[in-house]
Amino acid sequence: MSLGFERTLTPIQPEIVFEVFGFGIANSTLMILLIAVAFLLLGIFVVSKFTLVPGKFQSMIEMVYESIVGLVEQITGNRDHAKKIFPIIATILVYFALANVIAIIPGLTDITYKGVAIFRTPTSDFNTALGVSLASVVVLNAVAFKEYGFLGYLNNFFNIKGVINGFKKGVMDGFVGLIEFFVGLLDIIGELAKVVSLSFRLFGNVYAGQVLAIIIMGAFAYALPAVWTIMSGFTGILQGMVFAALVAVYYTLSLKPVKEITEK
Amino acid sequence: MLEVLSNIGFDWQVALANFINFLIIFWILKKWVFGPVGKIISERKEKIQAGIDQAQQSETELLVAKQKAEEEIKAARSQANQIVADAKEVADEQIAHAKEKASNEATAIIEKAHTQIEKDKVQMEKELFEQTAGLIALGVQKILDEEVTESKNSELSNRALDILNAQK
Repeated sequence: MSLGFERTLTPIQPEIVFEVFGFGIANSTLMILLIAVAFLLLGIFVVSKFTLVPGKFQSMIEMVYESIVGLVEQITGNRDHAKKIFPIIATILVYFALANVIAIIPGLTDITYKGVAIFRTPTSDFNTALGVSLASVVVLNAVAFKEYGFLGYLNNFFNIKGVINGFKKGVMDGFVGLIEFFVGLLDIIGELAKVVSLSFRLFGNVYAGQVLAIIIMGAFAYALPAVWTIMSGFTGILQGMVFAALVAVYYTLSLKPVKEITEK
Repeated sequence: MLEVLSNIGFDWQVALANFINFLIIFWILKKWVFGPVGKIISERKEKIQAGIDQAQQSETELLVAKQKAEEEIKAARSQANQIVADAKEVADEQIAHAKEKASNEATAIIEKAHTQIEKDKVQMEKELFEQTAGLIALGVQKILDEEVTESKNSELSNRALDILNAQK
């Protein structure tokens, strides 16, 4: 006889629940769809019920909204920049918050189909972290593209104008321009590095948390599970906050030079 | 690289699906939640600001109106005083004028009365003389026992008048 819960670690590989035309649908994808439905319902409620005179629920939502606006403003240090990236930052925050809270619902992750759990905490799948990271970088670039236009945006990566203007001034300036051109090319790799960095960091933290949870729950099975479950939910939200903050910082760091170039 | 990624669970199909799903969530939240909530908050802020501005404007307008009212009351008082003063002056003038007119009229009436009295006196005197002359003629007729003709009567009367006039 052994004491303690028998609990297995969520597999690191994505679990395919079923296939649609040969395209594997994983349980993390289904959980994201469930979250999307929840947000859609919230959206319908917001559009149909929210008024100028708020009720309790509306006040709560508005409070969350204002808090996120404040956070983004604090990170970017600029109200206009904050306005532009607010939707993606807020989406990341509420998405991670709900993704971690929804997993706490008892029994939700225990529903199986052909022996595979239908729902899984999205962040415990590397593909979710990668998908969110890629989406964040894509949206940030889209914001930059929209803000500075086609040429202004491309100028950040292919600074040909700087090379031409540099050589017009002199040979040394031309070489400096050439170096800046290659640095711009490196920024393309930098964008990809952001995706890798964000996704690895998030997945590493979440997965490490899960491993730690298994160890702790194995050791203190009768004392800590509930506390640890709440703790891990809280940690997930915190990870989301860190992720969102990093995205905001990337935006602030990457777009300021573009503006300077455009102003020049 | 892909081998390393697959060791930590990378599957391009799942990654693509999760990427698209996240973008769908982003779109839903942006269009249906953050957009409307932000709009409501900014509308409320605008309304509150408009209310505050209106209240401030009303306060300013009230102050201006009070000041204007005070100025107008002051002006009205001054005007009223002026009107009263003018009215008094006009009244004094009219009283004086009326007095003068009354005095003139009284004088004219008195003069007219005097003239009338004088006229009446002359008329009465004339009538008296005529009656007196008639009486005298009648007396003379009685005394003389002579019929006094009309020409005689006239002559006597004239003589009597002359005598009376001479006695005056």
